[in-house]
Amino acid sequence: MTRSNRFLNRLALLLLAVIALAGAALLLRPEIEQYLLEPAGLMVPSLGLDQLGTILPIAIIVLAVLAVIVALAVTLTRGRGADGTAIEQDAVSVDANLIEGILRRELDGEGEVLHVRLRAFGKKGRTLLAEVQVRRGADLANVHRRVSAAVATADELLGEAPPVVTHITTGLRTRFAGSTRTH
Amino acid sequence: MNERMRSRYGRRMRHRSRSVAVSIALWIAALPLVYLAIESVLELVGAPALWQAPLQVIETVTGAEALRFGVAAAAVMIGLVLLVLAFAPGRLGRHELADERMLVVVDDDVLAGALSRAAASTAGVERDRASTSIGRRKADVSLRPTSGFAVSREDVDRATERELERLAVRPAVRARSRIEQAGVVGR
Repeated sequence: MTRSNRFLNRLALLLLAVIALAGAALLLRPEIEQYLLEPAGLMVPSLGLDQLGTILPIAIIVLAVLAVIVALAVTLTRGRGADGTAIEQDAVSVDANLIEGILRRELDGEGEVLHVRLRAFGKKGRTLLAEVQVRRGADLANVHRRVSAAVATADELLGEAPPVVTHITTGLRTRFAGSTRTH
Repeated sequence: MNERMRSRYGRRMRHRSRSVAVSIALWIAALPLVYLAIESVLELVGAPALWQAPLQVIETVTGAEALRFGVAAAAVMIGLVLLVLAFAPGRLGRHELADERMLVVVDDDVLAGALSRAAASTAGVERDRASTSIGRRKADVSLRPTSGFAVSREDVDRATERELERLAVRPAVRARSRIEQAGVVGR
């Protein structure tokens, strides 16, 4: 979970789709004119690229620089948002690792939980994302109850209850762990 | 966690982000421009072109019929894929579990495992003899019974429904079970 604006992502994809389709339409211009525009009595003036002279290379350079800047900016700013500070209050900050440690300790001995990872998101009012990896065929109700109890213990120790998102998932550890615990 | 925050995070967790797709699409759009920009710079400084001057590149692409149709087809394909990405809901296989303190999101394969476990336990068979596929609002549980031992479909349905009620899955999921005709020797 990141802070990326999902609406802007969709808008960017839509704009790029329009640009790609417009490019295709330009390439297919003779056919479009012949089969669509001329029968309808419509005429589109020529682009006259050859009359642009030295403006064309400069326009291409400007467009390319803009495209690279936008691509770099988008690539480098996506997926940000997670960091190690779970709670920030006045001069006190609590590291996410500390809360992760509390959850791990509380879930230790719960054979169906393989791994717990905790990250903090958001500028104001930190939200904690706890990723809990479980075994195949785990008793989900039991895992949910144990995670709730672990979060309640963390709340008690921290003296406050930050927003928590718990993601119960599987992963590589699940693939190799098997469905039951063996001693 | 207030309701607004719960709804917002729930939606973000259950839907795919298109950040990677946007980044890839932007670079796909930028790379041909970068090539043309390099050719433009070479033309402006009077150096020999890597392949052709920008205007000649455009003329070559638009001049050769096969190349023109090929590039246009590729652009149409890319445009359509981007349109689908922009408008498709992008749902991930995840559901929420009711919880007052926090937002709990569970992957569908974990939920499927829990339902298979409940079904197998009711039927008295090993867990790997039950399999479940989960859709947005329904779950299909398939069970291979032990040869010679009848399994009640109603009992399995009740067990999976009870498990779903216990978990309070959102959006609500209805389970339907199917007992396979061919049984297996052994437990």
